[in-house]
Amino acid sequence: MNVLLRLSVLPLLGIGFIATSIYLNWAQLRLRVAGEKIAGQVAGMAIVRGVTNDVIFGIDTEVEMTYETGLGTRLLYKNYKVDAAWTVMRDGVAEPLPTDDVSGEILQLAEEVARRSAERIREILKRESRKRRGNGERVVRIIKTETARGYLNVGKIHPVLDWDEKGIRPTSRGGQTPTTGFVRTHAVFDMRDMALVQSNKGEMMVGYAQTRNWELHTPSKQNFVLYCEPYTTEFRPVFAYEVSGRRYARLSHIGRHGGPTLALVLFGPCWVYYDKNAPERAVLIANPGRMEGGILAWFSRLCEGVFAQWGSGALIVMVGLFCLVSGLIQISLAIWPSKRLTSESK
Amino acid sequence: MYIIETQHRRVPWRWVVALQVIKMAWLIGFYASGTMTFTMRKFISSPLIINSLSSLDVLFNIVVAAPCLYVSDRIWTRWGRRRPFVLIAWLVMMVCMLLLPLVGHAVPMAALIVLWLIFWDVNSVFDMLFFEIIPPEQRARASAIGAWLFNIVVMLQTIVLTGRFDDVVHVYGFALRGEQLIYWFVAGCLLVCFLYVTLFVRERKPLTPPPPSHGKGFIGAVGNLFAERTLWPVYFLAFSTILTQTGLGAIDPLLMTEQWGYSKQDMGTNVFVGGIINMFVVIPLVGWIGERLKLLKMFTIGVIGVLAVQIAYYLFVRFGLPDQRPSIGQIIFFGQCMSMMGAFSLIAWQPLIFEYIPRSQMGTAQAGLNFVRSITRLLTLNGIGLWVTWYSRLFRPPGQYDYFSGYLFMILMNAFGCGLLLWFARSVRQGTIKPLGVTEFKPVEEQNQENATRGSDA
Repeated sequence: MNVLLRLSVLPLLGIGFIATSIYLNWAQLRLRVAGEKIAGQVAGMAIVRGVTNDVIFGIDTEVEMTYETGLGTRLLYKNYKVDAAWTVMRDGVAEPLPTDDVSGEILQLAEEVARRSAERIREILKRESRKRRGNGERVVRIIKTETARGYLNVGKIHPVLDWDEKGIRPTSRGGQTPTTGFVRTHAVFDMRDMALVQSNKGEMMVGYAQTRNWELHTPSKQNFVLYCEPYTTEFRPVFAYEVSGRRYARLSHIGRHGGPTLALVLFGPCWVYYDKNAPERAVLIANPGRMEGGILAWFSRLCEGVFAQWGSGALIVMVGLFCLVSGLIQISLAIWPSKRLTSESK
Repeated sequence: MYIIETQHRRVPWRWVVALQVIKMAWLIGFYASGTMTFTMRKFISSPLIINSLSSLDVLFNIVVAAPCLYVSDRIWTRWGRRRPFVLIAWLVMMVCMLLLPLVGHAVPMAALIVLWLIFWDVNSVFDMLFFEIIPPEQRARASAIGAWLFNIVVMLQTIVLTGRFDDVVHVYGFALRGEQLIYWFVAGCLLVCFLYVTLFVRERKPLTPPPPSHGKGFIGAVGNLFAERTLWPVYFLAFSTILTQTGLGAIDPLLMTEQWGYSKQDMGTNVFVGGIINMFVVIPLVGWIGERLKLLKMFTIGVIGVLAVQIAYYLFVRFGLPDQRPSIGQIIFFGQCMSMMGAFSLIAWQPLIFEYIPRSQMGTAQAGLNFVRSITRLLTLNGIGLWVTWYSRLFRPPGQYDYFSGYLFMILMNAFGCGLLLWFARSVRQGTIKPLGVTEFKPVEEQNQENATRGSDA
């Protein structure tokens, strides 16, 4: 084999890998480097199954926690922000309660219930049963009713979405205007009858139902809307931003299987880099936020945000660098042969 | 000379660096096996099957790697004696990596994983090729360069690669899944290795003839290893020690992600931060303490220490934590304590075991030790999968697995291993087991003196 050809294989391949990576990430790289930075919001979540997809743009959650005393607290969350509260009496009658009067501990617990999965609620109840054993304030039952509003069973979702005073909306294609719908999930977790829980091998979920537009639906997993899909379903954040008074909404180019990414929290803040000349061209960059929930959790969110965005390109560049470094070493050996071998032959 | 060759007395340092870069790309393939747990989990729910499939690696160590290494010493082809194994292995492994993220069913997935594991063991011949190129006088520095690069690979794997499994990137109307990215990245790395060895590595025929074949086949070879009764205590010691090192295996990532609800990125962060603490605190601390302790004491501290930390961790999570879910900080803390104790026994084990091996049987003992180690690991890995499956069937609602219950199995195995080690120590004290590596050894000076005495007597 020709020496020149042999020596050029690895460097050329390396350059090819690096060029491919730059080509694949060019649109995002260009916006990240030369675009304008603005604060945006993860305004919705596209649940992409393939043929029928959903775009969720609002989640109302009602959390009712019953204490060992029989009393309870009910909280209503709109997009994970507390909106109203009630005290629930033993006979089930609810009396309004100013949200400021709800204790911080209960608010924190209820917010966790509102945001998290069924598994986490089981853990919370288990934690309660151990942490506050014999305490009247111990939470023994949690009822979570989640209503996710959005466009259900839509076809292919175009990356650019409409955003007006009514909220975000998939762009209508071919004269079909998508209509809104809802997914309501109602789950009851009860630890009041420990004998029953133990006979069910620790299972605390005693009731579960999901409806899609009033029709009963059996999801892949008995869980809430962001956690009930099979692994193959993809979650793609929809980010929204405003430039010179005009609103824009786009589907992110990064998604995740199995559930939403840690770094891009639904209804949470994000950074948007947009093209000054064409503001509809924009890239979503994760905003890990303040160091909340421990430094390691924050570091994890930061890494997830950075590498979900740039990890694929970086790995392709890395293969290119392996080629380049090893190929260049061989070229250097051909041009400047080592004296260690020549001295040996003498 | 730009062609890298075997059998040189001294080689340019640039050869060493280039080979280490290639070895780094190669090692990434090794770490890809860790990600395979998640690929298996997509189609298989039983931890028993997942761990059994992963443990085939240990079986192939015996039935594939050992014969390949043996044969590679005794053949010669126009492409060399090691390169054919290495190149064929890398080709097949590349194909496995390209196809694995595309399969949609458990059977082809399992077939590809088994093929990958088989050829990963065929490719173990690469280590021989590597050390045939790098001469003994340069191996120490080469190993230092390798250790440094190895740490970079570990960091890269934990912080960048592990968390990417679930990601999807949409570019130009094409969706690249994280799973595809990881496996194709590994295929890319293997392609670099393949091209490099094909284009730039040449084997020179060794001047010394190959060692003769024992001619008894695999069973005969295994029989030979166990025929020597003086080595039985050594194998017993190895068996007990491996029992004390029982781990969760492939179900460890499932404990983190499925049972405790952490993301794969959290898992990577945990290993990354733990790795940094290990490198800068635990290893120097173990070294410092180790210099001040005797081997047996260090080994005892290590073995009992790991058991104690395992019990403490189990009790802490099961009964100390209200939601039975440790934080990442707590996982790192207990992980580092176990790692530190484990390092004591690991450092002391090798020199300690050689005290019981007669010098004339070191080769046989090493081969036998590898065999015992592999068989024991095969048993414990499958055992833990079986344990978790049955425990979950008894105490968990259908379809849910208690991966953490594997710690109970680990504690039981560790306690059993400790019991056997205690019996071993008692037998040594009573004189029924003798440290033949020490008692039968006569230094050259002593032998010369004896010969001289005999000569003067004559």
